[in-house]
Amino acid sequence: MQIKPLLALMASLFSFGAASAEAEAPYPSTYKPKLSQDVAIVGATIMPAEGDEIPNGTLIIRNGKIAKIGSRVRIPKGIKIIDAKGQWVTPGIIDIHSHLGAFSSPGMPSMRNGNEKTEKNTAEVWVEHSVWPQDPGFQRAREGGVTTLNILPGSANLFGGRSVILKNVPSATVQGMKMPDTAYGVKMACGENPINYAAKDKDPFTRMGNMKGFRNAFIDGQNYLEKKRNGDVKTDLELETIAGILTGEISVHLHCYRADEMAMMIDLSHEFGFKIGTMHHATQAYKITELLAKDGIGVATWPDRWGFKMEAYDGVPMNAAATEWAGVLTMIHSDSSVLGQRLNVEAAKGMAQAKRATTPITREQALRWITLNPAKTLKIDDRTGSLLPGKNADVVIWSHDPFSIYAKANKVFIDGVLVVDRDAPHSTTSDFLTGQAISETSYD
Amino acid sequence: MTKVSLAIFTLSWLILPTTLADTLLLKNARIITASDTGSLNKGDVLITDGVITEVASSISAPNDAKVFDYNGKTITPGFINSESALGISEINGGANASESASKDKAITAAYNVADIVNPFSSAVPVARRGGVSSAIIAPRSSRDSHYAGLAAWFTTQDSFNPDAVIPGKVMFWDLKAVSAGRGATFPRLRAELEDAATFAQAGDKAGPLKAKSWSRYDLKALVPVMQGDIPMAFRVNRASDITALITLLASTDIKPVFVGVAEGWMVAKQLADAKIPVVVDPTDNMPGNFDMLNAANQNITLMHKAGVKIVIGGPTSAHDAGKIRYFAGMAVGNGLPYDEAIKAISATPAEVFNLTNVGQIKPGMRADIAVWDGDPLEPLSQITALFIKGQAQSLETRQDQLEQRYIPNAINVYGETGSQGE
Repeated sequence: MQIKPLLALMASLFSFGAASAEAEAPYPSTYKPKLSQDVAIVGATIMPAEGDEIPNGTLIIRNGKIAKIGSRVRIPKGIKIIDAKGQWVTPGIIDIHSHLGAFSSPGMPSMRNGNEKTEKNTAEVWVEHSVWPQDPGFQRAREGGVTTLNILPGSANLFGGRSVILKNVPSATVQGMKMPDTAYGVKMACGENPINYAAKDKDPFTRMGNMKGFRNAFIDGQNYLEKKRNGDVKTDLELETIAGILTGEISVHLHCYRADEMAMMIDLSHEFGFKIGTMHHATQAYKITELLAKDGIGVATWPDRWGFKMEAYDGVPMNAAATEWAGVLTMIHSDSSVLGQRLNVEAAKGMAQAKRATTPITREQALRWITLNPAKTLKIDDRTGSLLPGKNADVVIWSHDPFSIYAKANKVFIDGVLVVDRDAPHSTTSDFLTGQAISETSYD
Repeated sequence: MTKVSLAIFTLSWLILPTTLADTLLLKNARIITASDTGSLNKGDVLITDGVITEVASSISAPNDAKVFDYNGKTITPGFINSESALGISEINGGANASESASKDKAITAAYNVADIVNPFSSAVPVARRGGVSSAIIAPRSSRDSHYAGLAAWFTTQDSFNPDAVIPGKVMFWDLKAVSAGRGATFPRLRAELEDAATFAQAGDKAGPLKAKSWSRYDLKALVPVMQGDIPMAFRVNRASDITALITLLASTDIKPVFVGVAEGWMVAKQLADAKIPVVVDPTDNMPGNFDMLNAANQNITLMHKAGVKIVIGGPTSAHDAGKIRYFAGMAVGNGLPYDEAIKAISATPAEVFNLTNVGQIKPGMRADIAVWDGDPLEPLSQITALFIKGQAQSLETRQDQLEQRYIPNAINVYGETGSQGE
């Protein structure tokens, strides 16, 4: 998909009181990669996520882009060489489901900014307006090789609000992390959370109440779009997002656990003619893989979380493998500042389940769960998610096989800029931790 | 599970004797003993009447022995999860299926999870799949109380056994500074422990107690703690709270264990000097709140280097109990020596919580043994067999059955009745 024409279309449809239809979208990205040194990473096992693993390979980063990759690559004179013998190289990890900066650490009430729990429908809020760039979780995720984050609002509401895609770089502002030229997503949620956590004394109380809320919102969105096409209409933040779902400009990230509910939500999408991009959590996706595959709906799940609530009781560790085998675009997500630090291990756990099956999950498939597949979902696979020449140099050098529990990201590059270096003295990037005991030691 | 297979399953529990006088010989495995012997690259383990009787590089099979060839496999002690809700929480949230804390104000220290551990929980087989042969089932404190109650020691056998749950192994107490304010929390704890010590000595002849209007249940529950018969586990994270507790406890006969200890690295020497063992979660590396502002990846390694006895915890949810092996692996990734990490989920918790004859592979120990197809701390490794008291355990889970119902590629690797054996 062409990103720029799409954005222009969005701007024309959804400009907020701007005079020109070509006006820049509000809250624009100010992210610009710092100048980086060209490097040749040599001697490592390179896992490109698109193509075979390259033992003793060479990866050349030039001007912040992947310039060359292979086993017989000529190393340009004078370029800085990183000897990564005995180490592994992968694309930077993409966490398709993160709340960093929105539900920040420390997790005190004033920092719980991920859910506007005032209405069942808060499609009008944008999570980037909550994100605290000093959340120490960003650095911890970076140390786990995470270079790109899809930050979602929480799941207390049927419509939780808009998501934002961030480059995981240290920055004083969220605009400085926002990935340029990206489309918005929206967080929707079915099942227990909207029922349990909805604003007091407000519906929904039941799953049928959830469905009513969705249907009414989309009817309102259809009417809004109709008025908009016919001429003047007062801009409505909530309906702008709903309308964006209906026109396809805003991709749907749907929190949904149970197979029967996912099927219901698929029928909802047929009723109103929108597309569900990704089912998140989807712990029962294994029961309806054909339905998901038929509609081209992706699945972002955990390898082995289950039982923490009723709708997660039927979670099984072979879930990700099952969706992969069925041809569903499969992702392993974190939804957690802890799990988000080792998505590589989470992918390994999912892959290991194929030991109990007739068909393997390949290392490349498992690596794609946390790199190329989320990049495709976010429509940024033209720029990141694999180690193809021309893509941004979002690269991780691992101490061990990344599917090992012992693997540490020794070096992490974002757009060719070295953002984690375990060979250099530790430094805290979060202002919040600066000057605390932990920042005054060499310990991380 | 279908009704038919459930019936068969239940029936098999009824007809199987709980202790089999079997002789088993596990052969040709790499053996990580978690004892002073260290590891054997290739060796045999002899089990008689549920007890390990010999560990050697080669043992000739007695006539009546069942022989299991584990060439290429790795044998470890069955792992111990030192802080778990296994069996007291079927579903954590929103289902009225979790009972990890008291709601009765008169019963706090006396909250006794032993009575309510459910060995039939669907989370138990999943824990076995993680090589967990026993666990400390630990309660949590309710809103107004610091006392969480009495933890039990639960052996995760697949057949019903009245001895599977041993009550009252350790008292849990949670520091919750904000509820009353630290300036109130410590004086009150000091006074309460003085009361409890008085009661432990004098019983009903004790004079008026001063700290509060005590519930009789709670006072009685604290007696073995005050007499040093069972340890008391304090959930505490902040460095200054750790040192305050060390000072406060120095004048008592209590055998403390500190749980959490996110800032322990800052006061590692004090912990080592006080000889207080710790139960630590290696994933605690974030300032989740101001009590753990300085949570660090190297916390465990630094405490270990200072001489603090390390138990690895972390996966406290019932459903995560079997993930303890990954937590040990993370600690290794952060610098804890491999053998120490294995001990931290086997021999060390057995020692700290006084769990009799488990946690090591050596003669005289109960035959709680896990067999792995690779490094047991690695996610790509899977369990091959689990023996508890010398009996091969069922490793089949409810999840397996759901997978086999819906996923065409799924194979019934773990069978209906037992571990992968011969």
